[in-house]
Amino acid sequence: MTSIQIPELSFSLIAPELILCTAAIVILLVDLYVKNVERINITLLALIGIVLAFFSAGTLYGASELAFSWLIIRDDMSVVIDQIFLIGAALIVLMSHHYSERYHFPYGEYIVLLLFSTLGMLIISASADLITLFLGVELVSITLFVLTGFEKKSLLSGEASLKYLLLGAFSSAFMVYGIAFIFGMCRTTNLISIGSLLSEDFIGSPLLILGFALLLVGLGFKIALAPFHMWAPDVYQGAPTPITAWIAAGSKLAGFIALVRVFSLPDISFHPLARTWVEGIWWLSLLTMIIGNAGALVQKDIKRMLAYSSIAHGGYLSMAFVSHNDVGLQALLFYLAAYLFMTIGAFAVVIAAGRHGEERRRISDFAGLAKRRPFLAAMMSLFLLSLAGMPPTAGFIGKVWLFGSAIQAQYYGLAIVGILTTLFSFYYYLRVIVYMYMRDEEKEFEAEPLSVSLTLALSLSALGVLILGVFPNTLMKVITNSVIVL
Amino acid sequence: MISLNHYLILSAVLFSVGALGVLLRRNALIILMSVELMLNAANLAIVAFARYPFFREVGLAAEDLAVAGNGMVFVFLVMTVAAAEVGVGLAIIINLYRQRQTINIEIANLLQG
Amino acid sequence: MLLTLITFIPLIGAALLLCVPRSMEGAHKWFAFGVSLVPLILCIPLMIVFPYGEPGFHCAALVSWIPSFGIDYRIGIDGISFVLIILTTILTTISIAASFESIKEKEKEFYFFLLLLETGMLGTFIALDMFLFFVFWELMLVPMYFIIGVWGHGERIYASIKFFLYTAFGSALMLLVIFYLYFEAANQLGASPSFHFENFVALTLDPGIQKWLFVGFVLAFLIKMPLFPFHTWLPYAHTEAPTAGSVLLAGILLKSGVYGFLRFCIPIFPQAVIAFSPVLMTLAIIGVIYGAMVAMVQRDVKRLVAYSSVSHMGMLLAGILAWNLQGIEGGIIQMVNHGLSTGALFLIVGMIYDRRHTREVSEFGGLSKVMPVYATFFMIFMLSSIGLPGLNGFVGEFLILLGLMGHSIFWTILAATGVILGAAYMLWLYQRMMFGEVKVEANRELKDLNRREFHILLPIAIFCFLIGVFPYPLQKTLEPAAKQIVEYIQPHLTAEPWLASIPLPNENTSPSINNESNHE
Repeated sequence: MTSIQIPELSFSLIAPELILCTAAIVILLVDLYVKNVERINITLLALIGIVLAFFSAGTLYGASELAFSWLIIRDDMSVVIDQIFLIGAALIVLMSHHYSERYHFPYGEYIVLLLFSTLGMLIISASADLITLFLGVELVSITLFVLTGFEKKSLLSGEASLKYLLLGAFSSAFMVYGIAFIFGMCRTTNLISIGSLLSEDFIGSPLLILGFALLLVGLGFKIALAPFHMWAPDVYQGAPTPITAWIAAGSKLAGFIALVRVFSLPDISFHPLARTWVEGIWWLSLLTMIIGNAGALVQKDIKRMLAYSSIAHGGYLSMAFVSHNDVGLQALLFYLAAYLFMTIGAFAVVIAAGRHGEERRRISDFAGLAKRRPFLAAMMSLFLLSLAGMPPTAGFIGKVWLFGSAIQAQYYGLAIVGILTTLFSFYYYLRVIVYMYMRDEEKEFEAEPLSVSLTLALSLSALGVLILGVFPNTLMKVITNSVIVL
Repeated sequence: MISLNHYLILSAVLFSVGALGVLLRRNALIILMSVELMLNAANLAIVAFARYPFFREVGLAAEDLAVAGNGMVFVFLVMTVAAAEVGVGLAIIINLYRQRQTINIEIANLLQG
Repeated sequence: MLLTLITFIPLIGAALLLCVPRSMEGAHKWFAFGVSLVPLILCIPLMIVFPYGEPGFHCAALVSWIPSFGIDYRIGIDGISFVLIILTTILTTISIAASFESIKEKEKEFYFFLLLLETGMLGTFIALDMFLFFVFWELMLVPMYFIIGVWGHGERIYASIKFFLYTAFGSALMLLVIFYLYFEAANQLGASPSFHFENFVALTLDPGIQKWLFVGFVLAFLIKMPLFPFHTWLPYAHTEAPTAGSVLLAGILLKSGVYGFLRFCIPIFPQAVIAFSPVLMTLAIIGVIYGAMVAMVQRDVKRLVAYSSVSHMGMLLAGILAWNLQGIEGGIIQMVNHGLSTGALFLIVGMIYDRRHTREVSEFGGLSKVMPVYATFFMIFMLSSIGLPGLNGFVGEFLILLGLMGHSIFWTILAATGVILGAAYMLWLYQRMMFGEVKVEANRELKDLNRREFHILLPIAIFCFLIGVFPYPLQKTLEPAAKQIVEYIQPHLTAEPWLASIPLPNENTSPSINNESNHE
């Protein structure tokens, strides 16, 4: 008789997750038991938790270990990604502080949910097992369903959360079904074991391919790859703006990291299976770039336009899986970081440009912004130009790197389509700039003074966009090293 | 004798019924139920796969037990997640009903480009 | 270091300008003017340091920028870039001075974008790393887009977007080709890959692939130049842009297209350049004649000058495509001349626009009586533009025609026709605007140039005379660079039978130029 062995628990390896979780629970309790908590205190608590988690993640560089009986992998890549998530979460908290003042919703619970969704993202980035991966994805999704519907009075918000919930749950079912087949064929849910199994001999079972395909569909929904993107514009438009930013940046990032964990298994790049899914993702990427950019061309609502632009970016990003080489993976990680800053920044401007009951929603509402709010207009231009991929911004370096990886892998067609659709994208990004700078305002918008928290969020995002654009080397080195370790 | 394939076919049928329900029905509650059906179909497949070595009637290795355990644990987690999803989902549907006195998703269609 | 200072001081100035509070009206323009003077003054030590007549790149600097990809901050200048840098600093200062009165709203942003543009332009001319070049190349695009779109006239939004999309299309393809070459270089040369353009020159490319790469690469430059069928953005952009925008667009941005062609296209794709040169030559000559014909029928003065640019740029490219020393040198000298004279013409048009808010030729007439100083300057630049001996335009055009003559009589005749047409529309324009009776009442009250305007035009006029009378220093500066280009192309010329009859470049062309008779 063998007695049950308790696996070694190395809590230090999941310190960032633990700290974030603790912070969330503390805020939950404070909100519950302390009467009339000032919102600023909750914000500060959340920020402290995030910063602590950020630094504790920083101490984990070079760890490269599997923990909790191979459920958790702690490599450099997961650390970089964790830190990017945490920076994003901090920016969203800052934005939410301003936004919640405008709409008076239960702030404590909101922040708790936000932190839990971040926790889900950290779990995804560190998961070495399909089970952990699934739990992470669900933690992110379920908290975001609630957050999307947080403006209880708003019809749009309620409807968006319903759509998000139904399609999110639908896609989860695909994921679970896919995992079921992978589990059945490989007899394990551990990604590392699956990787080594696949590298040994090709299990040519159609069920395995079906499993991976279903998993891809499930994750494709989460990151809004065409043709699974239909929910995105509606949800983006209806959700409270900080949450829209978090869905666009954080949740999309998380979905891509999940894809990285599943589809860049260490030893299988020469596996025949790899070719099959490369072909699949090739089509998805192509379709997403075209549909995303074409859709954005005709939008009148700024959040909807940014939603389509984010879909299009999903297309560029999935190019990295097509090129399926180190360069592609590095480019993907870099672009995700760049994308986080510019997307969050753009949504922060959308928040800052409006006020209670008078949001600037349509693109034409931005007319004359440069005259009335020159700082906001300049920031918006910076983020839009970065999204469009103009130097010297982060978006340029990221895009160049991604397209470069496609060229290196000799997918010239995809790279050319990418470049051409980027050209289309110039048109709709510039349209916003045209409205801001070159047209006079049609109706007057009362200005709401820029709060400290929002200014901070804006300037940090702008700084991120510029620093990554002009001195990308620091992040690049970290990323390059982390991918080599992988 | 019921074999693995029988379970897999049943789960595929259930999954398809669920997926069709999501795509064809317009009542939010029914759609949520269909999603649950899909998740349970997946669960069935996982449990069947976890029991797979037992179908072969060969000597059971410790490894097979581990695989079985792995699958069962996953099923429990999926069930938990599904429950959380339903909890959140019902809250959202109730909120929608309060706003508009209907849970038909075709009527709730304000978000358009 | 000197080059880096010259390039980035405008950028730093632009950042500082943003800190000048909006309430300090009038401070922004003086601040920007002051900032733009710094690189201009720094050009003096540059002129002292620069080793004239020596081939290769000078004042070089190399700092690693993104080592993971072999992207360096690698700069250096030869004669061509040297001349263009000086031209850029001069024209930027002048266009800032020219905007003092015509730009009345959002001054801060306007001068911010002008300074940003200056960094972009200067950077384009000093970069030797292809990636760095691309970054600066794109950096020129955004400020110019804003300058046209926000401070332009009439159909400014259409013009700015057209300008942006055309140029962005070209550069997007160029980027793809750069990356292809980068990975090819990594394959062929082994070692650590880098974006250094001489690495790309060292590649041996299969002629079939080379042609496709060339097409992707050269399009960016042809659009910016602009060559005949790609020129349609130019009349809009030039016409609707504010004066400063038009001056820099005509003076520098168009030149950057030619510069890119000379610096990168020819050395990297010599065979493809030769193979395509009949096509390019045909288009260039069509451009010369088409531009002149269309200019002739324009009723808008600014549009007329814009189309004259199309004509002149075609001429310039034709000179380069003659593939001999005279032609190439003439082309490069003409870059400077065109920058000066067309830039000045745009200033002239801008000054009258500030007074009358119209650019219709028919609105004017008899201005020489009302504004004699203005009329004098107009005449100088008009004559310089049509290439009168003693003025700068002549030197370039003569060398170009001389070079073409060594290449093919047929093209020379057509090009000369273009020159004659050029003289015709310019003289006719001058006659309609300046001579005759003052017909429109509003013109009677017009004030002549004020001191600021006079001092803006004076230096350009001086340069026009200097280059016209003593072209030798300019030529001496450019010669090594031009020779270098001939050397790149020469080995490949002989392989191409239809060009085999070209005589080898002649070393001594310069001193006798001024004694030659007028070719028109």
